[in-house]
Amino acid sequence: MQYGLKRSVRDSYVVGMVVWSEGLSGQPLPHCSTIKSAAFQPTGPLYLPSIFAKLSVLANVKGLLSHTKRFAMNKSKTKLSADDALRMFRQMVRIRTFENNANQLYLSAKMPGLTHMYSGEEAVAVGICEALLPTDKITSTHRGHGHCVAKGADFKAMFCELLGREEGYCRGKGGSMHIADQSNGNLGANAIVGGSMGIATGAALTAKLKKTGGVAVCFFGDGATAQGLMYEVMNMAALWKLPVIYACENNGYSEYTKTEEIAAGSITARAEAFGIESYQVDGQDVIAVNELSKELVERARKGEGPFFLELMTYRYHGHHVGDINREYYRAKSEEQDWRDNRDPIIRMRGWLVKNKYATEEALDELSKEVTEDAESAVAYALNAPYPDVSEVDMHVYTDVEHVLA
Amino acid sequence: MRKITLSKAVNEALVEEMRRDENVFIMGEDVAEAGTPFKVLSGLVEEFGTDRVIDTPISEPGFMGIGVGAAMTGMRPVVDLMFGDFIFLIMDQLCNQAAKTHYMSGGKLNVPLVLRTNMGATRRSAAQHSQSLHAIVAHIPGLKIAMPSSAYEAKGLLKTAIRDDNPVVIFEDKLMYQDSAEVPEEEYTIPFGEACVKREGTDITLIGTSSMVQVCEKAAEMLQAEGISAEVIDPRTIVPLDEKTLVASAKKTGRVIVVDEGHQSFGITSEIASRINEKAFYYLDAPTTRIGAMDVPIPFSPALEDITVPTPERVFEQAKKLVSGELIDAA
Amino acid sequence: MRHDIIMPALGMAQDTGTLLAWHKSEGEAVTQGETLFEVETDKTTMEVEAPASGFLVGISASDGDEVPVGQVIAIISDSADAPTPKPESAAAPQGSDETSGEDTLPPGKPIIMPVLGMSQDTGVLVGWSKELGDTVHQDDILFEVETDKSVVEVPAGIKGYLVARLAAAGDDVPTGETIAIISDEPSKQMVNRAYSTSAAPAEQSVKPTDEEKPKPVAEPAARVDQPQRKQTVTAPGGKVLASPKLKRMAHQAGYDLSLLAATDLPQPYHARDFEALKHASESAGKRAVGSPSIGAIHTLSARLSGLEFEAFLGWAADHLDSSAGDHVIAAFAGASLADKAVVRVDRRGESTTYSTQQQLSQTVESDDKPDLILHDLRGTFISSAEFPPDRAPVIAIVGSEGDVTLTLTCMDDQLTGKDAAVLLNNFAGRVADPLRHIF
Repeated sequence: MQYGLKRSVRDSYVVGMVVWSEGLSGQPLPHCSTIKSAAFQPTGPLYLPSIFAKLSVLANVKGLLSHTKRFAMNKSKTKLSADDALRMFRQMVRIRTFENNANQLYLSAKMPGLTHMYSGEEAVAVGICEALLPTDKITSTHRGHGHCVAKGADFKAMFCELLGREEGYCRGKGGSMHIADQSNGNLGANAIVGGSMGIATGAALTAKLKKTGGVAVCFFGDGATAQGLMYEVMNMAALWKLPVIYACENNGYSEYTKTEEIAAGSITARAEAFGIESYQVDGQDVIAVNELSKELVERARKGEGPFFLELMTYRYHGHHVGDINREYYRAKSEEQDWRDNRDPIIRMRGWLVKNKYATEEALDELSKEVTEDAESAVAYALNAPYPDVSEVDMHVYTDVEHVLA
Repeated sequence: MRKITLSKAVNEALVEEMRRDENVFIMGEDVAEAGTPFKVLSGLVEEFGTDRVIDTPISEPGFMGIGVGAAMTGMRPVVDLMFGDFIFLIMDQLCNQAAKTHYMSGGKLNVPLVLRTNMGATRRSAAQHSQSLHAIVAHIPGLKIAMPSSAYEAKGLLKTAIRDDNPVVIFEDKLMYQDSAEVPEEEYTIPFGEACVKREGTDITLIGTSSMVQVCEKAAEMLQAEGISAEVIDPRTIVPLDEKTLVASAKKTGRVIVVDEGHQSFGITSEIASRINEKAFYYLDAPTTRIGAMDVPIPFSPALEDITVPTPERVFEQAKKLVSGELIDAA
Repeated sequence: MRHDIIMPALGMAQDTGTLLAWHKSEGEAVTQGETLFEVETDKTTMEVEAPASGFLVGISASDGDEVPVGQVIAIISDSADAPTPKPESAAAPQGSDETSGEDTLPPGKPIIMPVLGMSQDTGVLVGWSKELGDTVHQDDILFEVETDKSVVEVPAGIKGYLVARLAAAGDDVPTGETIAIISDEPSKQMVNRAYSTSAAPAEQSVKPTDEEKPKPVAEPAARVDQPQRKQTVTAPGGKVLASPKLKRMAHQAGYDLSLLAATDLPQPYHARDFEALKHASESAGKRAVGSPSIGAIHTLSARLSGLEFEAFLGWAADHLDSSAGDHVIAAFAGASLADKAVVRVDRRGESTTYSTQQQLSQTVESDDKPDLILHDLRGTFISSAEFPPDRAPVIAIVGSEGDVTLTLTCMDDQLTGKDAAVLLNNFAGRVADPLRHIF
């Protein structure tokens, strides 16, 4: 696992900052223990120079890294209600189901353009968005279907958008890469990697200036940490104490390149340099993500922001749906390992059953409902009308109905 | 009527709009206590505080992006870009984000943002502080572009820009900040997309933007001494463009010169000339010609810089050629 | 040691500064670093310190004055009573203006090579009308200049004494250059020389007034290629060069632009040439009525008795020469078309062309291109004929003594319908009543 080693380096010196919910599966996860055992025998190409490691230890001992808060969640601190737990499970299933259908639409040539699958990362979007109010803002990425669903979007309008139909959330003008349910605080998916970081930070500035108590979450991938804009806006967010949470979904790959090949040093350290409290969290553990998010969102509302999260996750598909032959950058065995052993839905399902929140049958029924819901939405969208061609010059300006008229 | 400088006019517009609407705020480099290097914003932070006149780090893409996000969520930011040349730094936020958000969201999200910046050469500031880059952003649908030609326009257009629900880029000529013009005491705005006929004439139409309006007016005076009656038109906003007024004048006079301080090739002059060609062709008695800045980076030396920008003399000579019926480029 | 105190450039958009207040007065001793004066610029106030110790003298700007940046407003001198050299005036060019030229020019007002032509960079001095030292009045002709192929007499414009002539006859002098100096008083150090570009210092020393601003560093017009003088241009293939506007006007009025090409007006044509086009069209008698479609053909016929004509021919055969038949019919037809015309008569496979005039006797054979073609088919079995239009209008003549039919066909651009009717009616009238032609 390419970044397991990287994390192990961190774990060995700042053990507590890795958010890990071992309670989810009831026992330490295989990968968890692997990481931890590796932690004490750090090897491999990403092992930090010992001098740096020692400095880090020293700094940590003296509390100089105070912004890197320890957040160990061996046991869930607050009891999650059955409603909340089941809703999170349902939302993750909805995302997975949406993506499976989208993938089928693409493979069967019914969907124009291309799309980027969120499958595998569901716990990140759901864990965070479940901690937000509908009025809180998010900005999303080219891999944005998951954020859109998690922030409360409806299947019908989403599939319509995916297929370029008039009833789509963006009236067919955005498509997969710009899909967003604007009425639920989604400020749009952005096809420019790192392009939305300013927007999320600006939304947080509005919340601060207008004292709305609102919070903005900026979703972006590990690849976007290479964009300069991130550093500019984190600087200002930290200077002005803006209620923004930078959520870096580290799925290990920047398009077709391993993250370790494009990112030097530590990702959370980037934010720490600005004095931003930063956390690394298991992005496959929806409860861990949600608990941390709830805490940080509440603190951000009180003006204690900004915060930075590095969510360790994985995308099951390629960079986009057409990225099929990808063994040159990623082994199939690695993908299978994540699917079998780290899948956020399987883990949550086990946790729900074990804690008697739901029976296996009830969860099967829930999944079936979601599947039917998705299928009927797909059928609806496939038959939904395209926008009238007269719409082509609409919505260029707010005050001009047809700009070319 | 009282006369105030363009700088003062911009300042007044901001003060009035910030008093009128608490969502209006200013953001940019050295906008607060420093009041910008041109001292255009002096006094604002004293009245409105640092929450509404926000000094930013030197991070143009960063604060432009923050401005876009703030605009999308209910604020009306006036983003101050210290030099128009820095627009290249913010192209993604301006052209990929601000300009397209309304369209990409199917009309559901708005970006009521004003980007105030400047243009204009002959300040001996060389190639990276002298450009007039309005054509580059005018190329992008979704942005509106205003180009005030005097203190009067600067105030009226800026007030309209702040009230507009779309992203507006306003280019002030940095050489005109200390130029005074008559500006009424009472409140007014100038609608976008309405050209102003600065001077009526019958023999030739001179279309100028920003400071080139003055250049055209001077040329018109020189032409008058030769018995040639020139009409001078200031489009005031190039997006939207008041094509109707421009074409009507072209039909009336049959001859047009378009003058703009952007580089001549692929610029505003080309766009306007080509629209006139399309819509007034059968009324033209001479080719519609362009006078823009030379297609070279702006040089530092005064000896070189002065010849890169359009002058009244050049407009005058060109106008005489057209009116005389000389064959323009027989090759 | 003398230190100039100048108005400093402080702001970013500043051409001038307002002198708020002097902290020292004329003649007062100052120490380096002491505040000399306050200046306001771009809404900020600055205190300006003394750059050196000494005595403040020669103050030339007072409180409240707006002073151009860079201008000397006082001097710090070694002594309080030092002679106070007058600070340079505002418009004095910055830099080394004290370097003198090879000859010192007398003071006075400069006379420049004027811009007289439409696109003129230089003028050739033809000659001086005044001698050095002469008294000149405003309206006196001072010199002659050749420009744009015309010679212009240039009056002095101001009165005084001609104290310098800085160009000689034949010199080609750039416009705007000083070529003479007229002073209020006679001068002993008069200069008379040919024009040379190295006379540049003259410009500085003879331009003390600020209305004579130095020319822009480089005149853009001088860099642009010299506009060509209006000349006759023709496009290849005989295409007429005209503005879209004139083309539209011509089209709407039904005028043929090629008529302008026959005039000596230069191309390209513009709207202003419309009157000439109108005139050319009308005088060619080819103005269309309304807007006829191009290529319209007119066909007209006339029937009449040929008895009188036969009788006339019989008479003519006795009195004129043998070819009288063709000769007479060509004359009748030609006279029906115009005072002078060229008419070709085709008869039994033979063509004869005549140049006709009103008088029968002046009709002679010719080799010119015909204005009118007659096909004389009398005496054949053909009872009716209509020929397609040729290079000229065509009239077919068929029938016999008692019953002759004339059929005219022509293109609209040869004859309009109205003119065709006039032609045929006149011709028929002459054939029916030959005496009408004679008398």
